[in-house]
Amino acid sequence: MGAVRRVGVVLLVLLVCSAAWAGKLTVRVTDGGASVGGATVQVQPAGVTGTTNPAGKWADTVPAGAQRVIC
Amino acid sequence: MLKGGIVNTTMPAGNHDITVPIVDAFWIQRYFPHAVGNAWQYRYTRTKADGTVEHETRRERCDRAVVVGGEAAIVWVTTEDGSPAWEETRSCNGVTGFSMYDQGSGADSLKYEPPLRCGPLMPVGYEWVSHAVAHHGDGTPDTPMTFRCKFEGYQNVTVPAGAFPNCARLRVTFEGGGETNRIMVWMARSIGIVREMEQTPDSRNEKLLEEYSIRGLPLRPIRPIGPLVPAPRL
Repeated sequence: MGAVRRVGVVLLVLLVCSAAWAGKLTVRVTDGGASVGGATVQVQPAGVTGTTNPAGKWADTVPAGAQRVIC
Repeated sequence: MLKGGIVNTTMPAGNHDITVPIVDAFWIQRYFPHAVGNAWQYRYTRTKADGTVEHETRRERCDRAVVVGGEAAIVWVTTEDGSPAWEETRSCNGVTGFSMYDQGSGADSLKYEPPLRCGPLMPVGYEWVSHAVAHHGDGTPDTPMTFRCKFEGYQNVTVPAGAFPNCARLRVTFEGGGETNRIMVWMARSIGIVREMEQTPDSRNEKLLEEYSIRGLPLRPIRPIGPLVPAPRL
């Protein structure tokens, strides 16, 4: 039982840590304040890319830390 | 990857929202409103190689909607001093950017295959190059055509229609049939072309915006094109 509890604690710690390592980044692309749909978005060094929706937004999971967002 | 805006951020644990403004690029759709009924009036000055100067009033109007090769387009009608001059079929949107399908009228017409295109997002300093074959309406053999368009930056421009801040300056080149036309174009957001300077083999032409009527423009009432009154000559 103690071993099972220890495994459970380890899994819980891993879960908490992984939640801290990544999060959802929502990017809104604007031109003069107006939303730009269809713009290509790239996040480096995360290496994720996508295209903004008609509301000018795009979102994806990105690791914590320094990132550069290019559109 | 075209770079219109760059933001450096530190992604925290959890969710994060950021806004990336496009500052180093030109979103042509927002500067060239192609909607039926939109109209522009220009003072057009042609300086010929022998020094002769000619003035005329040029009106351009988005006349009607058409479909070309499955794409929604607009027929753009130009008159010079009230006389019909020529028509162009164009489109400008956020997907394919600016496209020109044909220009001219009757036998004196050119149809481009594929259409000449640039955009939709034009990073500063990047030159779009579009190659096409021009089919002549008069039966002249087809000629290769090259269309180049480069966004050079933003500039304030004053013309008879008023002062327009942060106009996009474009360097456009048409090459075909052994002829090269070089055009500098200034476009104001939501207005369209406010100034144009063209260098052809036999003349230097300048086009300055005098009046305009743009559908849906928030800060200016919609006015009918018919009774447009030219602004005073500078």
